[in-house]
Amino acid sequence: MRLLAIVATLLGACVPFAAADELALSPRNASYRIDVRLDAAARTLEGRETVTWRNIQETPTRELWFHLYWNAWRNDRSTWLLEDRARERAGGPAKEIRDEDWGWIEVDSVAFSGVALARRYAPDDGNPEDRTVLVVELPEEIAPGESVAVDLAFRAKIPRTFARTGFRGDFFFLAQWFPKLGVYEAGGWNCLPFHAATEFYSDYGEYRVAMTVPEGFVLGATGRETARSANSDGTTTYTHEQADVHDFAWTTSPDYLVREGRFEEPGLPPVDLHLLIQPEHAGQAERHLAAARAALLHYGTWYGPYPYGHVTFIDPAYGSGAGGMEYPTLFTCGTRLFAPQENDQPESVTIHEAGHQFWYGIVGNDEFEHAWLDEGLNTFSTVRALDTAYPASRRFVRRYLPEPGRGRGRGRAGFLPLVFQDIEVPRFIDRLDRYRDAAGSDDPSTPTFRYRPETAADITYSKTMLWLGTLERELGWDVLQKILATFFERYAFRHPEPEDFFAVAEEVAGQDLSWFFDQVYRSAVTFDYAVGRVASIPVEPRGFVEQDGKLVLADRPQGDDDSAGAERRWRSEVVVERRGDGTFPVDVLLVFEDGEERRERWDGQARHTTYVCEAKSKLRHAIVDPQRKLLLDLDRTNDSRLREPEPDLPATKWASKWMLWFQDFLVTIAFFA
Amino acid sequence: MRALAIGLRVLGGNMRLLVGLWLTSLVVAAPLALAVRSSLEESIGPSLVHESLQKGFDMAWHGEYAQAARGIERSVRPSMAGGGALLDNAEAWLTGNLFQQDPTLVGVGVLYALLWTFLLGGVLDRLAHPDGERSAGRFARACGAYFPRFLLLTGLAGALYYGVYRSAGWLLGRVEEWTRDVTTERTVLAITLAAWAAVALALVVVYVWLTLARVSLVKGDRPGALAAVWHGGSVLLRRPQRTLGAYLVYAALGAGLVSLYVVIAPAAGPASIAGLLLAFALGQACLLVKLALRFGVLAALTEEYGRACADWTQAVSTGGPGRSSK
Repeated sequence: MRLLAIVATLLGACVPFAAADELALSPRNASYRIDVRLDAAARTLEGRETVTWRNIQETPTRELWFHLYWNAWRNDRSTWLLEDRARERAGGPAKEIRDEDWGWIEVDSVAFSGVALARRYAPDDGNPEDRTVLVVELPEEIAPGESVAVDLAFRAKIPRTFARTGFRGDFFFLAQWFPKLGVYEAGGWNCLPFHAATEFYSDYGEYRVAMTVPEGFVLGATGRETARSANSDGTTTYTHEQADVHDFAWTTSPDYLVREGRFEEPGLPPVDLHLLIQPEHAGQAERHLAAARAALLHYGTWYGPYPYGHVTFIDPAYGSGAGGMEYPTLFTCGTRLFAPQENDQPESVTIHEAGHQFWYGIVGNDEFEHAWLDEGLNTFSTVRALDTAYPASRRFVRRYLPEPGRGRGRGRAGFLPLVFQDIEVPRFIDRLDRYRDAAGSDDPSTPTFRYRPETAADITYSKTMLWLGTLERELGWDVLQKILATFFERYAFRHPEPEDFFAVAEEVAGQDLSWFFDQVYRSAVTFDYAVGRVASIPVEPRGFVEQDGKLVLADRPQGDDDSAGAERRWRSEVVVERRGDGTFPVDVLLVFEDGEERRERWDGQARHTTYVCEAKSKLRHAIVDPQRKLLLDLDRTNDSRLREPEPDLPATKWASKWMLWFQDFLVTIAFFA
Repeated sequence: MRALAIGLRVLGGNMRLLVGLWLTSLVVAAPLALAVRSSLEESIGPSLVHESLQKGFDMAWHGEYAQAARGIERSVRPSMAGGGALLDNAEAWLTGNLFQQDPTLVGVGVLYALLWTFLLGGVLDRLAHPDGERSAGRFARACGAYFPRFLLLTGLAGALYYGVYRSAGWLLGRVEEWTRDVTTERTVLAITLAAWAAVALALVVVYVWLTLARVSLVKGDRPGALAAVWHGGSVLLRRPQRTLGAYLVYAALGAGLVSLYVVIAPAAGPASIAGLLLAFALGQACLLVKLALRFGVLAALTEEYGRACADWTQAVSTGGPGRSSK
């Protein structure tokens, strides 16, 4: 204990690379100093790192748990690959992995003050062949508040891209590339094996990383460049530093073009924008920069300012599979040679990944177990930012001229895009379609790594986006924005749990929302409201009525139409049904033929309810949830009902389009005759 | 240009035949279109989706429809709107995905192809003997007379096309191999384009070859199907520029037609009955022109075959090359 206390004192006396006067935003309890060299020809890394860890929990520990993520691709027995293969097989034959494609990381030594430490692999998921978690045994316990520094030497073979990490040609994207500490929590070390359905979780700290790459390679990395030196062996060493982040990623390639920009908005801190873009996409640089600015503006305004002052974003090499991923102060986006403005690429991915700087980067939830907290909140925010900053999205397909090896089966991608200008696609629709297919697969409260791999993303991203959208429509944007801003402010540079979010939501909304979270988070119930029946009949009774104390036959109404004059009144009846298990209060809108509208509110609890009313004209139609608040409703078509279905022009129209397609299909197939 | 002139000339004299071929596609497609219409009607029901689908397309509705779709309903998709319909089929022709549609559609397509095989006898007879009798009886007799041998050729064509698509799979696999470390889309696009162009050319070669074989049968030069295949191949090998060139001229015109249609055809619109009729007429007109182009190819290849035979005859009479093949 005394020894460690000394170390702690020394560490306190000479904080390795943080400016002493810099105000720490985070606990900075897991810091790294790394020297790494890339052998681009051999596609290997060789590095040394010093990890300084401070115990910020209230219990001691005498172990350090490290993630060795790249061992997920060491062979096909890793937990990640077993799960990924299962996911891929669900969508068709799994992608072939060749000998050169594998990757691994080996820790050659771990030492404390020059003394080697014992270490062991520690898979805790019943898969003894997984090598993605390494436990290092310390000579003494680290008490709460104490620190320890250990030195590691490691080598790694860079894989052909898995999970956005790897190489293609001389393009390298290197994430999760170093032995990285898990998170020591109240219950012990949270350091799960690498699972296919999850991302990452780490403590905040300070990073100083020196990366040596071949001369002429352009480099982008987390943090700001603080030094660059040309070496006598034909290499260049770049040093980047960054505090208050929980990860470090970098990329290098001789092909990148560098474009600089700046984000400046009143009331928000300025941000230097550093874009590394592929030469063939140089013409799209401004679109990337504009999208990043839009993200920083809207997320900054809605939730809180971006504090780092700089961000680097990467347009990865074609086919590298590295696009669309977030890392602290760095993210990858991705675009295509032909990228029509009507489609959201590259804007959508740029805003989404820039948005992760807020949800994931600043609010650092556990992505192993609660990935929805960042992915879901961020997907919701992305859709909102896109809707705010860009015109409506159009139907778009990129299928023509199929690409070799990209996508299989119906998901096969193509080079050439086709935009359907007159088919507008609300941005949440894609999410609803994905959720619909996965609605019952998992309760979102299930730890993410236990989700069914093939539907995990649909629950994590899409369902959360949809229920947040529902909450926005129910509570109002002002309230939801305040909920998200409060959550952001309260848990910035911390590791919130789902219950923290729910507590903030109820606190800010000033109401018990457990009925809602129980359904959308703690269960897999589905929602479906429908208008089951609509009818209008004359108010005047038919048959016998009492008149002067006698039963007389009522005057027969003159026809069923409105020709009987202004005095005629109609009794309309609407039956609204709850066909799903989920309940949600809904409005019911009754629209009459003379344009009159009546709105009713139903608590949505019973299996059905009936509205009866009298009016001057017959009912034209009824709609349940007319403002479409309940985005989780799986069947929108049955939400409305016309009393008298109109001529079937739409069916004829679309059948005629189908017919032309099929005639052309016949003529095309006749080629083979 | 000569191929074009031939096509136009022959087309002028065979408009009824062309319209007949177009009507055939209409008649075959109509029952299935009615089934699709019925399915759409059922799905839309009395809902207000009715209005959104009349004005344009409703992606929310389509997501629900697609999830519940079975059989031919699965082929209802937004990309079949406007020019997307033609592009979808063009791509499917190139990749062989035409045969991966719903089995009912493929089955009807195969039957249609057999019908086409049957009618081809009459069509080629008329093209090969422009001065002959032009009665329906002769057309029908020709259809019947050539059908067994044409069927044999269709079977052979099927085997060859299958081979082309298998080779395409192999070729695209090689392209993937060659481009594994290429980091620019432009380069991969160029290589892929070249690969697909090779596939398209192979499909066209088979088509031209076996069409020349059919012309050979109709012209009466070769009574047996296999001999006709040999003879058609000889013509193709001796006049590749003329025969393939004729096809490619028409293919270029077809590409132009599709491009024009993509630009002018309403995708999700229109909303009125008049607009709907106009859009339908526009689509049918496009199809008619596409059939006319197909007709033009047949006419041009028939003409080229005749010229090749004439050249050989002349070569034989002058003792030049070509003796051995005639």
